[in-house]
Amino acid sequence: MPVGPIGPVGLGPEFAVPDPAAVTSDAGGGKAGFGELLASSIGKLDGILADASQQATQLATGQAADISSVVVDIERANLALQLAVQVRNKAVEAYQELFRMQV
Amino acid sequence: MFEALRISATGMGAERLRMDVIADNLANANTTRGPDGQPYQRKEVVLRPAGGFEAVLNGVEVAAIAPDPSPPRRVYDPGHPDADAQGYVTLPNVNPVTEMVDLISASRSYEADVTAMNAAKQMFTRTLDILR
Amino acid sequence: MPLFDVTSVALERALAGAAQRQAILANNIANANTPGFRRSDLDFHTALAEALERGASAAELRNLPLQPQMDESGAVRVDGSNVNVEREMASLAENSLEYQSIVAVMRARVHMLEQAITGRV
Repeated sequence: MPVGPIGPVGLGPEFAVPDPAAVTSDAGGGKAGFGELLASSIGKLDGILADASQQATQLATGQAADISSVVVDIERANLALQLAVQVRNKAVEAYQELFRMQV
Repeated sequence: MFEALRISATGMGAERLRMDVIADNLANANTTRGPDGQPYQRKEVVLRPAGGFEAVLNGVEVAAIAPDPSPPRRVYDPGHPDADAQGYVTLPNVNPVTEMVDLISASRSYEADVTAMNAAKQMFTRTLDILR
Repeated sequence: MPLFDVTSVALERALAGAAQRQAILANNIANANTPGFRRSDLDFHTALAEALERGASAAELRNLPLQPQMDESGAVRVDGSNVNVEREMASLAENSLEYQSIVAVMRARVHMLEQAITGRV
């Protein structure tokens, strides 16, 4: 029974380490992708906050359909804002960490 | 937003009117001589859904306070000032037992309306607690 | 959500309107058996809705007048009073719940502003 040579050891194709050359040439596109993601998320947050303000105005003028939709919209806005604030805090932390690095 | 409260309020108003009419019947159970010279005639409250039978979610309203057409009681009492030639007195067609049963029914219905109103209020405040 | 926009002022005025309406409804109930009494009511909803529809600014809204109106409609009883106690009680409960809901919404908005300003969630 012929035994073949032992090949290189790895974790599998999903955990392949990216080729450094390929990463540096792709970095520009990757950064733009993340920026777009942030911008669209902030746009969505703005929409959710505007919804909540609209519901609050309708409550004040007595035109709200029912209290549950008002409450749900406002709570959604609260959670979306909390997520955005946490993301911002983490981003600032990461930035500060980067600047603390001794090069 | 508060339809449930308004609807319960119509129910409570209708039941309170029923109780008023029952109290009137009981108070006049032995009135042989009314303003028109006739013995007192028992009154009944007729209820219907507010806004007609096709309307939905409007509560209840009083259609009429109608007189009870059942015949009055005749009791043999020749000494009574309102006795007729044969010695019979015409007394109102009010049966206190019937009135008491109606009174209990109206009272329980009123309490049920109050419970419904409180339940609606509680639901509302629980919803507001989500924002707390 | 700006700091002091029209929505905030509208909520404040609605709160003031609800507080005023509570007193008016309580007065109606207190006078339920007063002969010849006519009930009053304060429709702050319509006043606010109209002001917002014609695009009032925050400053205009802050000075919006809230006038109670005497209500001649409704059945007048034998004693001349048109107060239906159950209806007033229901309106009182409604108004009280409305006040609580406006307070809850205002608190939620302030909380959100605090989170955004301090960055502490």
